[in-house]
Amino acid sequence: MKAARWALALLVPAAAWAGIREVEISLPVRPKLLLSGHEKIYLGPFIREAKGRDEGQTKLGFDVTQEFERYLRRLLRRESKLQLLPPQEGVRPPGGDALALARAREFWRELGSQTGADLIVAGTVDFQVQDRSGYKTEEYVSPIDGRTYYRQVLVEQTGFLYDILLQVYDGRTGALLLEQPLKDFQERQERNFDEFAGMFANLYALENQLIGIFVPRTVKSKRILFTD
Amino acid sequence: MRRVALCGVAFLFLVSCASQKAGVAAKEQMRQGVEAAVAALWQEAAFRFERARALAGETPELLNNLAVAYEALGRYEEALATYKRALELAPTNNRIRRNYARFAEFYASYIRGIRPKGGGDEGS
Repeated sequence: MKAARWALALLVPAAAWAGIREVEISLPVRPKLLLSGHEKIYLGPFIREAKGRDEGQTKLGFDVTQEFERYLRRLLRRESKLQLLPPQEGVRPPGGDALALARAREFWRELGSQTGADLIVAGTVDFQVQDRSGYKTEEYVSPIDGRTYYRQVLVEQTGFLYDILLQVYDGRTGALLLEQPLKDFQERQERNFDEFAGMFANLYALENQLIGIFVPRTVKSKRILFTD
Repeated sequence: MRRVALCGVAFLFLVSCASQKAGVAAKEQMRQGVEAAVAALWQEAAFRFERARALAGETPELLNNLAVAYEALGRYEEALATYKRALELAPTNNRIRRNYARFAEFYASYIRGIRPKGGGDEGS
């Protein structure tokens, strides 16, 4: 009886998949910006906007905005044919938050005329390292009496939160063309996990979304084919 | 009179033989089309499914496969029409419906990208 039940359990899904095949197809995804692909792009300035608390800001051993700018430059150079203009010395952001950046239309227009950029990519970034270690309740079966007990176990974890608000300005008019929020959270099963490695884990996870703003990309999608 | 009846029977026999042969050939085209699709040779897959349709007429399963091939080749209008036709023939087939739902979701966003936005992207 038990064997028959097992056979039935195996046969039912097999029968459901009989006569079909699953295939993957590539579908195009349009970029968020309508570009010819050869525009002149100026990157920066980016500002660090710590949301909620700023204690993590002082702890980090590197400049988050500089690292992000460098990463974005490398990514766009690798994945697109956009002309990336060299960074200008002494460009200071026109405000301390995203709203102030978006309001400074004259600043972006001037920066555009100075650099000859068609588009200016700027915005705010925030990176937080969170110590998520703590005690968690775990089920435990005693080898002595075979009964189930609950015990408190220390779990060491580090969380990395990366929050970007990418803004794209028209270099000629200074108008805000696009504002795209991007967010990623990564968790590592270790206390004091390297923050630099954590930040790049966030950035790699966001890579597809970031590049999807500027260039077309493809996504895989599954379909079912009938075999008879 | 008997001769006419005999001729009629022979004709019917020949027609049924021919249709059976066409059915077998269509199945073979369908099988080869699926193999081509699995190998991501979508141009060949579409060709095979079209041949199968020409040989044995439209079935919902065949139309579903053809729609998927059109989709993979970027012939989205044809894919849409073919999915719709497949669902007309088999409105309760969940697999075709699922394929169609996934296609429709993609197609809606794709079409939105083509149409000019009414200044929506301009910063406000």
